[in-house]
Amino acid sequence: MALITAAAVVVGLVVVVFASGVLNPAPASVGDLIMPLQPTPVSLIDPTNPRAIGNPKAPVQMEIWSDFQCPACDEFVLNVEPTLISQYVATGKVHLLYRDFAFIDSGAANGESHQAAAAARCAGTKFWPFHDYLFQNQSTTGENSGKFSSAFLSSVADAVGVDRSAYDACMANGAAATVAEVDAETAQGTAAGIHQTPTISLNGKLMAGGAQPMSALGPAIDALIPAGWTPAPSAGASTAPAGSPSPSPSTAP
Amino acid sequence: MARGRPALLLGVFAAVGLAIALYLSANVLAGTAPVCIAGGGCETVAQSQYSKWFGIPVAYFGIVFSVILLGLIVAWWRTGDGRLLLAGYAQGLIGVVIVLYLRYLELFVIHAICAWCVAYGATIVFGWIALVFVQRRANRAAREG
Repeated sequence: MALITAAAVVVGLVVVVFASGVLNPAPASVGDLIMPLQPTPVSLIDPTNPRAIGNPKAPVQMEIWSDFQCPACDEFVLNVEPTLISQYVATGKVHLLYRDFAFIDSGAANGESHQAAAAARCAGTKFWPFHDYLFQNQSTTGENSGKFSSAFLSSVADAVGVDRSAYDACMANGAAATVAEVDAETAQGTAAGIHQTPTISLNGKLMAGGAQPMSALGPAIDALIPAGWTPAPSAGASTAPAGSPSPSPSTAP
Repeated sequence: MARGRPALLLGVFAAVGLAIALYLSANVLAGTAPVCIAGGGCETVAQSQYSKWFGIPVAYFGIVFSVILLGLIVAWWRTGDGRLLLAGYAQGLIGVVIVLYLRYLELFVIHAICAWCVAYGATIVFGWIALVFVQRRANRAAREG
């Protein structure tokens, strides 16, 4: 009996070791795309603005000015944002808005920063999953290296389940109208004094220093939350089932 | 030892687990996210790269696991062969180890809890505990009888 118990535990551990990818680290993928390691919960997406997540009436209104090609933004999204989301956005304390500051392609309308930003906007309600895929799959060979090609962006659209006819219409002719929106927002950022990405603003005030670790961001957010503040019953993370399809959502039972 | 009631108890655990695994797998096939009981954890877990092992959705492994376990229980109920219970015990223990690993991933890596996955894990853990008691009773009955 003891032998069987030990054998079963060993087999279980072997399965875990293999499944965890310790021996053969290979991230899960959809086609050539790596699935986001820690995707943003779709139930947090602000129904009034798909580029925002969290409680619209949160005491802290946070904006992240970002460029999808920016490595520091990538670092922030992959390593800081999951904690930020679980501790502050999901709890109703922070309303987080993504804002375009597309500058790495030097303002070229057909450049990768602009096309990626336009494609994410053209994803409509799937903006945030699209955002997660872009950062998870950011180029490892440098900026403006051809990673965010039209074909690549279309594959992301398919992976996140975007309505392709609407997406294709939005992206037609170089997504001129949407690129103009990206340019307008970037100009707005420039006028506000932004000169690097990511730049974070809390309740309209820019934080200096680009990407912030949670050790700096957490106290800065906490300082803006009124003492005794509690989320209203309807505030915070929406608990309504989002029902939006994920690329191939399989759940670990 | 009468096997009807213990087998029914074990069978219910395995059948509930199978139903949950089927539901999760149906969502995979339909390309939808499971309806979450609370919070947004299900979508997060479902969209994480940990939702697949070797490119295969983990929910599919859940079906295979539960079907085998259910088969062992039914076979034991019909034959009374103690080796089948022993096999169920070993399989259940493997499942418990894997369930613990998956809960670890949810709590400390993905930072999201999928209620359906927790429910499935509960059927494995409590089913295995029940199986241990049933097995002990069966062994005692065999020694006395």
